[in-house]
Amino acid sequence: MLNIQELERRWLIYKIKSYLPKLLPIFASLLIGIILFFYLSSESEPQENALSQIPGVVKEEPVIAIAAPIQVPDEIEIAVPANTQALPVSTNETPLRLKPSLRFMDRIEEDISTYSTKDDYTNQPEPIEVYPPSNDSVPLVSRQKNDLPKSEAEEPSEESGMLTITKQEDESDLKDIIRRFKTNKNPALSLFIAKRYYNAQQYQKSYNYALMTNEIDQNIDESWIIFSKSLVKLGQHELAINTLKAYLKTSKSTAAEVLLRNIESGDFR
Amino acid sequence: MQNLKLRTKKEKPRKKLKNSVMKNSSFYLSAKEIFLDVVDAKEYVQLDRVSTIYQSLKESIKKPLKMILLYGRPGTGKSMLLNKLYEDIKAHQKVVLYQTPLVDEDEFLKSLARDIYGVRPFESLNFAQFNELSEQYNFETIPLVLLDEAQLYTASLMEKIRLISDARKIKFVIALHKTEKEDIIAKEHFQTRIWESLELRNANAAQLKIYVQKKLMKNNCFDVANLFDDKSIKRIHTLTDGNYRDTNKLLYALFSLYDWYEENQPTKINYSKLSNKIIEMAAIKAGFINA
Repeated sequence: MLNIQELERRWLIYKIKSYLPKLLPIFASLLIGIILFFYLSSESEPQENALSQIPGVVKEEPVIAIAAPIQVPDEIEIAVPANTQALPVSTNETPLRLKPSLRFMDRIEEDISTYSTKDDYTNQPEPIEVYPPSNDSVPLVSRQKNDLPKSEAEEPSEESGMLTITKQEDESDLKDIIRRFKTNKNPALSLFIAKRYYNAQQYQKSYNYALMTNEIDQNIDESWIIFSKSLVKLGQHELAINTLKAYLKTSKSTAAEVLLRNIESGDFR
Repeated sequence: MQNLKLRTKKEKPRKKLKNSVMKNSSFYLSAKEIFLDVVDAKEYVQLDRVSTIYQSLKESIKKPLKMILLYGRPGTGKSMLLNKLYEDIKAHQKVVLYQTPLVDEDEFLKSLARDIYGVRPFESLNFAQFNELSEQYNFETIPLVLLDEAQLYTASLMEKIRLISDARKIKFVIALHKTEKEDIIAKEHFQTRIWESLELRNANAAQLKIYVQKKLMKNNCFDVANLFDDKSIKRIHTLTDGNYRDTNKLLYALFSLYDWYEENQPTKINYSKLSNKIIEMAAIKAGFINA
């Protein structure tokens, strides 16, 4: 008597057994492929950053052409023109890609040593009176606060109602950050340094670090904002406006638009 | 002239097989019965290689000889060939076929005396007495003895067989298994005395297809014969290694399954070609696949 159900069950087991040796290598290959894919894709981001660090390698990204190229001297010390002095602007010329000289980096460390002797960055904690910022600059200022190191303590002044910020700057930290930036050219670090200098009202340096940040990564809104604000502070309103307009052609940054309006209207000086 | 064929349980007469095939209502039941493992010369299928060997065998027995050796692995058709030879020549000369070995020497000699010379000794018959007896008879054509499964004979008895053949009183055709474990042909009594040796082998896929289809068509199962395409034959050949006995066994199981499906689940049957699944199920049932 035939037991067909039992035979069919045995046949099914046989088929599974016979296909297993064929399927196992396929599954194993697929698994290895998926793992490799994820591994390589995770590796690709640092590789892109590394590419940008290699001299002569230019990322294939849209270059923001600034209609009015800045005559930036090679030295870090920018000769700040007087308000009445206009930078030569050539709108007809081909867009010039800004390339800062990195020679000033050599002086950074020297500056750091003198940095601590300056009035606004003393070794001794000194209360700084900061006037309440204008409405337009609030978002930037509040963002800046978040970026400050935890060593900075804010103490509201009970007497005047103004903010009294006690800065306990650790110069060695900034020095270390600059050293790290020189090593790895991380745009986050240069942006941080630019912000720090901007907050310290050292607009030349904030301008330069923002410029370097833009060189490394052209898609950081904050960097372009710091860059433009530094230009305004350096008296280059038109250049700041042109820069922001050029940036807004490739970006939809709301903060950049607001800043542009404020500069044009004169709310931000 | 009386010729003897000693039947054994291996040989099941298939009387009126064709009639039963015709009467069977089931499409596959008829095919199933064709592949019953029986040795019947009427079911002999003419294949190129087998035919060549058979012709060589027939030519050899006409020549003055001592022994003819027919060897091959089990299921390659040795017994069928001996049967066919027996059926073909029994009308023309004295021939005896021993399908089951007579291992006892006395019994073997007494059987030869009875079947060839018609003498029925009541007492034991030793080799010397048998020689004396054989001297008393002269045949126009030397009697032929066909010994199947000769690997089961003792070395001592094989020596006696050799001596009888040397005396040219009886011709022997010896069929035996050649196994991988033991090469019987290498033994001395085969090495020195054999006049001719013929080897039977398993069929290749093309020969197997002809074998299966001829066997079916011989029994009027034309529709079933058409089910065997190259793909299914290749699968069967892989499973059975072209061995005729194994193929018969597999196909018997195959058509048993088809018969069941036809009766119980006919929707599962493809009437235009053989199902690979059912072939494999039959192989599992017949023990060719260990699942």
